Order: sequence, then C-alpha cells, then structure tokens
Amino acid sequence: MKNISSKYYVLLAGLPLAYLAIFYFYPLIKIFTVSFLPDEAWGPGNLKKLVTSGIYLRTLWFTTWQAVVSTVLTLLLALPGAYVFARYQFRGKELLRSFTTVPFVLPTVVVAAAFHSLLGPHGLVNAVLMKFFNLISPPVAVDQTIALILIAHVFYNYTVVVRIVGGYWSRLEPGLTESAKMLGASPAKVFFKVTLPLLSPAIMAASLLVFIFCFSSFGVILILGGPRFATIEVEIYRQAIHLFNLPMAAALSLVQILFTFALMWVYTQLQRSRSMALKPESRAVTQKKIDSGVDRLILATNVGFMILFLGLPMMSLIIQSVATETGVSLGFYRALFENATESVFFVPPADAVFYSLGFSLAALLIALSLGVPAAVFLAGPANRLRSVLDPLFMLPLSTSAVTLGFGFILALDKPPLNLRTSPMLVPLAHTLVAFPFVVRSLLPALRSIPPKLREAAALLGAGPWKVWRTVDLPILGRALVVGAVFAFTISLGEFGATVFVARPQTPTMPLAIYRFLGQPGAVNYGQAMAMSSILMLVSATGFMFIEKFRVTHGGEF
Amino acid sequence: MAGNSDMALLEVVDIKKDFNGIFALEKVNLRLEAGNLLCLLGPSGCGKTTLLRIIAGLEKTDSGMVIFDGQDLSRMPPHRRGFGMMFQDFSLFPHKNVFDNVAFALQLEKHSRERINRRVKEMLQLVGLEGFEMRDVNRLSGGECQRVALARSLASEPRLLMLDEPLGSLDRVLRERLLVDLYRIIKQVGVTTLYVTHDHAEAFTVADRVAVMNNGRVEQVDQPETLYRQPANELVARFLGFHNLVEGVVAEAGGINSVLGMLYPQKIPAFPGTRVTVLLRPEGARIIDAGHIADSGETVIKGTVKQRTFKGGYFNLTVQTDPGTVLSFDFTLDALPPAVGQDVRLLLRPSAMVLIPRTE
Repeated sequence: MKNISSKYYVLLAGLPLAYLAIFYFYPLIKIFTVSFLPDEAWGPGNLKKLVTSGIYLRTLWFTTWQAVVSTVLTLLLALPGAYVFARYQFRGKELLRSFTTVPFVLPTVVVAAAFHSLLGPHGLVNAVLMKFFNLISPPVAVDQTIALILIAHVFYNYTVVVRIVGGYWSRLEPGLTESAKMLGASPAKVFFKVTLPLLSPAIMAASLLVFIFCFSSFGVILILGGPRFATIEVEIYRQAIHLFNLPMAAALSLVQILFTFALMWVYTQLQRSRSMALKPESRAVTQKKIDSGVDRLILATNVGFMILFLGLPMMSLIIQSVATETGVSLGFYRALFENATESVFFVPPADAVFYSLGFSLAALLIALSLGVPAAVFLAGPANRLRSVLDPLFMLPLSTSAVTLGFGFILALDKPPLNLRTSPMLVPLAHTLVAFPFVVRSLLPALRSIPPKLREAAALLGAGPWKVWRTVDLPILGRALVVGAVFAFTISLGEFGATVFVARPQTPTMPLAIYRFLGQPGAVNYGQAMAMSSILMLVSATGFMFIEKFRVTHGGEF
Repeated sequence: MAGNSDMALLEVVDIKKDFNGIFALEKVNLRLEAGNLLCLLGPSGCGKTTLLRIIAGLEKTDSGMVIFDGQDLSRMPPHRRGFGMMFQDFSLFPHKNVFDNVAFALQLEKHSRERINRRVKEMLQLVGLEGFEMRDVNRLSGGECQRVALARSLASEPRLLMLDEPLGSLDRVLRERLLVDLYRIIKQVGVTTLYVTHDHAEAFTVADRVAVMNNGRVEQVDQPETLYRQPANELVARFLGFHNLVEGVVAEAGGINSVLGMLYPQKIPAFPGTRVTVLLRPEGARIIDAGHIADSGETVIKGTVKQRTFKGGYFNLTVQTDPGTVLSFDFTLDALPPAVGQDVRLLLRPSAMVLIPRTE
C-alpha cells in the first residue's frame, strides 16, 4: 500500500519535472554554456571580467542596497497595516484587504506608468503644484531618482507584508500578549519581547519575499530609473538587447541565478517550519471591535494611509488617461484603436488586449495542470526527494523573468526546439513564472489537511484517487482558485520575459505600454496612460471578482 | 497591609458590563480578604471570566469599580497592577524556554541575574519541576505546562493571583492530582487568590469562600460547607448538584405540607402559610420496613424504585414517589437496597431537609 502510493506520488512529479527540464533547465544550460563557452571553447574569461569590472560590481551593489532599503521601508510602513488587519473588526475590511492587494497584481509596467503619472515631470502632483503656486518648472523632481524607485517598490510590496504577517498575526493567541501584560510588561515591552519575536518567522518570510522581488526588479527600474540606474536585471537586458553582448548577459544571468536561488532556498526552509508551528485560532477570538480612541486613531491612520498611498497612483493614472489638451475626453482610448501609419506597431494596439487575454488563458491552463500534481506531490510526507524537489519547483520564481526570457531566446530559436515563430512561446514562458505561485497557493492548503482525515477516508475504503477527490479537492477548491488568479494576473502583466520572447506582431499590453512610454509626445504618453488604465482595470477587476468568488464558495479552514 | 481589619484587600463594587446589549455582569459586588482564596463558581457564560478579566484590567467596565488595597484601579493598566494571572490554556511563551518563561516578570523588574536565577530555581522547586530550566515549553506535558504557568505567575510575588479554570484543559485523572498540588502551593505561598471554575467539587477543595455566579449575577457568597448546607436559592442548589427539590407550604400544626406528604425538617419557619422549597439531601434517607410505624414527628415517604446504580462507595436509588415526583438518594453498602420495581418506604432525617426561600 505504502509503496503503491509513493509510486503514484513520483508519477505526479514527472510532468512538471519534464516541463521544467525543457523550458527551464535547458535554457539555463544554454546560458551557462554561452557564458563559459562563448566561442565553443572553454573560457571563464567573461565571469572573470564580470567580477573584476567596476561596472558590474556597482550594479550588484546597487541591486542589493536598493532591495534592502525597499524591504525595510515596506516593513516599517506595512507592519501597522498588518496589525490593523490582524486585530480589528471593522466594516469594509474584506474590501480594503482586496484593495491593498491590487498594487501587487498590477503589472510592473503599470506601476511604473502610475508613478510616472503621479510624480513625473508632467505628473499630477507637479501639475497641481505649478498651477497652485504659479510655478514655471515642476517642483517635484523625483523622476529618474532612487526615491521614486523605492516608493514604487513599497507600493508594490505593501500587501505582501500585510498578508503574510497579518495572517500570521491574526492567528497568534491573544492570551500570550495578555499574559505578558499581567506579568508587568508595558505595551511597548509586550510588543518587543513577545509579539515581535513570535511574529519573526512571518516577518522573515515576508521580508525575504519582498527582498527577492526588489532584487529582481526590472520594469520599475527600467522605466522609472532611467539610464542612471541598473539592477542586474536591467543590465542583462541592456547587454543582450542594446549591446548584443550575449556572453556578458549570460554571465550576469548566472550571478542573478546564484543569488536568488540562495535566497529562495532560505525562504522555502522558513515556509516549511512556519506552517508546522502555526496553531490556528478562530478569528473571533483574536479580533476585537473598535472601542477606544486609540483604536480609532490607529485604524483611521492606517486606512487613510492605504487609501492615499495605494490609491493615488492608480487614480492619477486614470485621470491622466482622460486628461487631453481639449479637456476630459476618451481621445487617448480612441487613439488606441487607430492604426496610424507612423505608429510603432504593426497592429492596432487594441489587439494587444486580446493577445494578452489569450496568452494568459493558455498560461493559466498549463500552469494549473502542472502545479496541481506538483503541489500534491510536495505535500506528502517529508523525504529526501521532496526536500530536493521543493526548492527545485520554486526555481523559476527565484530565477528572474529577464533571465527566463533571455534563456528562451538563447535556447529555443534553433533546432531541436525551434519555437521562434510559435505564438506559444509567450504562454510557455509565462507558465514558468506562474507555476511556482500555483504550487505555493496550493501547498499550505494541502498541508493543512489533517492526515487523520485521509486515514479515516482510507479506512472507510476509499482508494488514493478517491481520497484525493473526496477529501483533498473540496479543501483545495479555494486554494485552486487563488492559484488560478495568480497565474492569470501574473501572465497578464508579465513584462521581463515577454520583452524578450514576444513577436512584434503579437505584442502584449505591458509591451504596448512600454513602447508608448518610450515615445515622445503627449499623444503617446496619453495612450500609455490609457493602455495602463485598461490593464489595471482588467487585472484589478479580474482579481476582485475571483476574490469575491473565493469568499462565498470556500469556508475557513 | 495598609487597610484596617474590616477592609477587604480586594473590593468589587457595583460592576456592570454588557456586550452588545447582553448583560455579562449585572451589578456585581465582591470582597476578598488578604490571604484568602475566593472561588468564582458558575456555569460557562455566567460572567465569571469576564469579572476576572475586569479585575485584571484586561477588560473595561461599563460602570462600578475595582478597589485594591484601598486604591481605585479604574485608571491603572494591567501591567501596573502587580497581579498574577494564569490562563486556561496557560499561554506559555513558545519562543522562550522554561527558565525564560518563569523569569519574564523578574527580568522586566530588572533584578540582578543572580537574584533571578535564585528565584526561578525556588519557583521551579515549589512546583516540583527542578532542573526543567532549559526545557522547551513546546515539549512539555499538559501538567508540566500548568506548573510552569503557575511558577511564572508567582515568580514576582503578585499582590493577587488569578486563576482562570487552571485545570480546565487537562484530563480528569491529571486534574484531581494537580488540584491537590495547586492548593498546597497556593497555601504555602499564602497569596491572595481568585479562582475561576465551573466545577463545584474543585471549588470546595480549594476555596475559603465560594461565590456562585449565574447570568452575570452573584447568587451567594459563603464558605463551602455553608454553601453546601444552606444554598441561598434553588438555582444555587441545582448548580451544586442537588436535584431533590420539593415545593411546600408551612402548615398550621408545624411541618411542611408537600406533594410527598408532611415533611418535618429541623427548622421550620414560624409563619404558617409561608411558601418554601425543601431540599432533601441524597444522603439523608434510610430504608424502613413495611412494618415500621412512623412517629408523629417523623418524615416518611413512599415510592417505587426506578433505578438502582452501584456507584463504588455507595448505592444510588432513583425513587418515584406516589404523586409522580422522582427523587434520588444514596445508601451505604451495608445492605443490598431493594431492586428495581419494588416499593420502598424512606425515613428522612430532619437535619437532611433544608428549607430554601422560594424563587418566584
């Protein structure tokens, strides 16, 4: 019995493994060989050049410190928010929680465009200030500075901390802090001696995730930072596309892979110990009503901050998309559907919407059909194979999108796998990015299923497949939907890999926005705003819709 | 102690609390003298834990006050009150070992390391966990957790110790053993204690006085024996496990006229016509044979045995009396009581019949 089921389990891992072998490891090996064997002969010259060259050390240094600062800032600003979600009951809480998640599901290109529209030289803030104080030049000059990059990173990752830390916090037994109070600890002492240490696994996990995201930041830096700033990601792109120095780009990719894989390994270790240590408390026990002035102040400050900080960039994007020279109009949106001869596109930009939707749907289907068996396999009892495969399945996540895209064009454009002209190239790449999220959405749900439940079902005469269908699947339903949303929205906004693999005739929405932003002129800028607004609304409503669906169809477990 | 002798260490005055319009506490008054142990006894949802949390400062009152040692505590946050509290699930800090759990309050008070070490050792000795300092609290048994929690709340010599169902999360066998230990330790330390429980046997074992609570009200505060001998009303009687409650009226000739016939308790109120409830103690009946002729002052009731249960130390009989009342009595093992279906006559001891004011 045991042997049979473990054989089943190994079979489950086979499909995702095969996919990763072809579309992940093979391109990586290509990157590896290109960086070491640029001219079909062994030569570590590129790596050596990379390590000794000042530019690359500076790139690495910048990549690291901006990620550290972004992470610290995100933590400081989001921890109070996590507290509010963990400990208070208030009206509109679920809506607010969904709202804070919107920035995270926004494509990086849209985030960049939004901050451009708010704080750029022609941004809303500058326009208002210039009008109000009668200024000739824009007073806020954060465009192409590190400040704008950091703000955008906080905006993007705020919800990561709120969700991970807040979720963990809401399950901390209130008796622990009350005990500390009774033992003479002031509120500050309670926080630093009890709450914070208990939260530390969640804070560590959230920080690591935010750090990894910022370390591999590409679109935000490329668009908001301008030519002065380059993370490793941006440098790979420049080396590969602008300078066509493939060996150097490959060497940089190798560095990126090494760093992020190490970080990801630590993250998975944390995840494993965290889900074991959790002692779920029902929400009713841990959450209180607003009944004092202090509570009201904390709540009002945080909700106000969330709405302003997260809402303003999105709002200004929409305002800018309808603010034409002739006043409020849908001119920019109309322009999207016209194929002017001087257009940078071969096709109407509106088609980008349909290409994007098609690619995303395809990516969702592939990612789910790979992610479900992978997660079911990983959720089994710990053994050596699983402890190897767990981080292995996460590898695409820790490998930056840019590296993936770069690997695709290195590996898949000549026999035996010539997919250069295939429209499937985009969803195949997107699947790599989405697959780890699907697995990560499913795993906690799978691990939360008590083994006793499975044993009980088995004792009642259910075979492994039936056990899975009658016990696991209903519990999984909600996680499955979450995984599907992640796959879809990630694919919809994917930029780093798409910029390498998409064909000019079938651009996606993020690509269209990037091209518009790179062109001079108010009409191009306006069209970027319009396209970003559409993409933002599509990802946000899709996400909101499914979040709502998820709440009504799944109980708490 | 600062106050004079007739002043209680802890006074709860007219405390009111409601949650969304539902009364949790309705004008509660309580006194607790220094060095005493007061039990708050009542069914779950009666407000006893809410009261405890208000005294601790973890919950606010709607009105009324808590006075400790002559001082109104309304504006004092819980961490300044110097009270120790043990929660039902113990709430040991999972990120600290046994030593650091017990030393938590001492470290906050910034004692010297030497003193902390000594005190923790003392405390662990007191609760019988010598050498447990470096243990991981996540790997302790339920009983060990309880003792660590006790040591932790006693370490900084609290002015008042509060225990919220301290044995509630343990299994029965363990409970009985630990209860005795708990009582010994509390008395050894001599700390003034508030003890919340729903188990009257537990309350009787440890309490100097017991406050029976129901529906947010204190029904009776008395010493355990008094409480047992003379419940203040039917509600208290029922909660203490008495089921033989019979309504009656004081008769002209002395005695109580009831559905069981005339009852002659030890004490009878002077006013004929007074409506009372008579509590018949389960241990106060003797089986008499059919030939026995009752004296005028004797209480004899008749019935049919419905059920006979061997309880270990005694037999329990459920007896259906003629008019349709079911009573329950305990008998010694000296003789085998009548079997199910047999008729019996029972002679009730006057001292085993207690008059309770009728609750209307």
